[in-house]
Amino acid sequence: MILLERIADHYNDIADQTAVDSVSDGVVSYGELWEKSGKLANYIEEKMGADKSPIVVYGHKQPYMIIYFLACVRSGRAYCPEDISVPDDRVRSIIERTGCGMILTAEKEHDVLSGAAAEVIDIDKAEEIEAVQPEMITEDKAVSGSDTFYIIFTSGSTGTPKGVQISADDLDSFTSWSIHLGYGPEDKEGAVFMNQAPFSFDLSVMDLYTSLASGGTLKTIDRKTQDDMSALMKTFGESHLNYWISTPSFATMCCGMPEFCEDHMPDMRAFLFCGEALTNTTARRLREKFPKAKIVNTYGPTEATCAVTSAEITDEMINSDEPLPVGVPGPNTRINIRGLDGREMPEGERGEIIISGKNVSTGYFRDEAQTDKVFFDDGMRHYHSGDEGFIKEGQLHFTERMDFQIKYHGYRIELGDIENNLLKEPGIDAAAVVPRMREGAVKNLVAFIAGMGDPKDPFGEGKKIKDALREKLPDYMIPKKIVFLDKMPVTPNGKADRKALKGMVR
Amino acid sequence: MEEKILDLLADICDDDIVKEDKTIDMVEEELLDSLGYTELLAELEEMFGIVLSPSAVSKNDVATPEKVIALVQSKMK
Repeated sequence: MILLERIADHYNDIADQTAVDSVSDGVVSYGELWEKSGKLANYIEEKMGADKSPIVVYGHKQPYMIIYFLACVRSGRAYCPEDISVPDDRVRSIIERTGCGMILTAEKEHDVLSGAAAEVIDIDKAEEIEAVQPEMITEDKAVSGSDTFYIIFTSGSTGTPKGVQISADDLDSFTSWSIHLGYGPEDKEGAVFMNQAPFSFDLSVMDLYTSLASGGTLKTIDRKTQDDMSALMKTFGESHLNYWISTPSFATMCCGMPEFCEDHMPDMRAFLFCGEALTNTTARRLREKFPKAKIVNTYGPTEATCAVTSAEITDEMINSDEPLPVGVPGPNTRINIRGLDGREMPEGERGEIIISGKNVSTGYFRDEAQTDKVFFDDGMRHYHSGDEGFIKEGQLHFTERMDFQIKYHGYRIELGDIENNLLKEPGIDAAAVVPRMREGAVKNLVAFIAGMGDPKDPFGEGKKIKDALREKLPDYMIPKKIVFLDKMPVTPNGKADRKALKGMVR
Repeated sequence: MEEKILDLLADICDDDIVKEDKTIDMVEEELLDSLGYTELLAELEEMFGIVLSPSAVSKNDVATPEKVIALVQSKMK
């Protein structure tokens, strides 16, 4: 696998360079990264033997997370990253579904893992193993070709997450393209990449593997720092960031800070965005604050390895009335726009975005029915994205989802997932969640529920419902507001009338 | 002035409760997140021609509608 060969090269050439640097959990060099992961991989292989099940890796922004990821794939097993922000119920259900016999964790507190029928290895144990393992694993054991490299679980409309499997070939195809984003690969050697997204969110694939492929340093920003604007600005000022990879909402938030500018962060070369719509307003503010840095918009679903198209945003695009394009595909990918009848749409007309080529996932983990609905193989793999868009002057434009899936702060959410969990609460007979939009991006979520009448204290009741949801769903899926209705407005065929509800969202 | 501030808060928090209960802790109740907080400071600066640097004004300093009103009043003196 090209990516692993490149990391092995860094081990030989730049062993002392920092590979991953965190705010408060230390650093690892390329030398340590390769040696520790190679020795751990040997242990995994010895212990697991014929059991090739994926391995769940649980933690946050610790450099050890990356050692674990590489240990899994070098032992020939996929990893499944779970961040501490994933609610315990979801973590447990994913552990169960993967059938993993081993869990690696970078967290000191990991009660959530205690009930699992798997060996749990924490950092202390991993260091013991590394101390006694004489050798790194041989390279022939590593995942390659169509073997799964990672599995990322995304929101599913029925309330059960779907596991997207990304193979070694998929990821090689992605990184061979992503190292050219902004500037060429030579510029990225030794560069500092910012990691904002949790590793359970595949936006992190763009910063992590572009950085590792190019011999850069990944600077991980933990949740605590992200929640404290002055600590965040201090970290930015000290980190010499060159490449910024985040959701547009995170950059929008930072734009409110006066320190977030070229004077304070003079090393910024490029901003790479993915995960949701980049608005003209945010791009304009960034251009004002960082006149020298490039702004690159990208687009892609988890099912096609993070991102497949890119556009360098020009002043002309920013100042036009049109929303920003998401760009052109890389050399390994093809984009087609299909109408409802399956025929290719002419330039400028809207239809479903079909992604074809080497980035496309091999399918959902142990879910043939869901896989067969959206993946097609005729010698080349195709993914029916469910995203609506059009191509104009060669550039792809994303317009909206064709179903009830939305992007909120870059996270992919099936509204049905929230609705089904609301319906499990006593007293709720009907539930519909509607996004409140601003400039083509989701500002927040509003839940409409019926069956509880007109409570005296709607704010307090709403809070109780939100607290109940929080037990089952990640924070970003909790509606900001709960609206109590006497009766859910319905369409003639009996479904919640989302148009009417959207009208009630101011 | 108070009305303008309350309208702005209701808009940022997407909830009229901030007009009814001026002591409500908007941070605690998750009405005001980090994005809302930076937006609030920028809007207040523009609306009243005052300077509110995020490094001098913490989230806690603008946690309730009452606090926001008092802060703007103190800056306008």
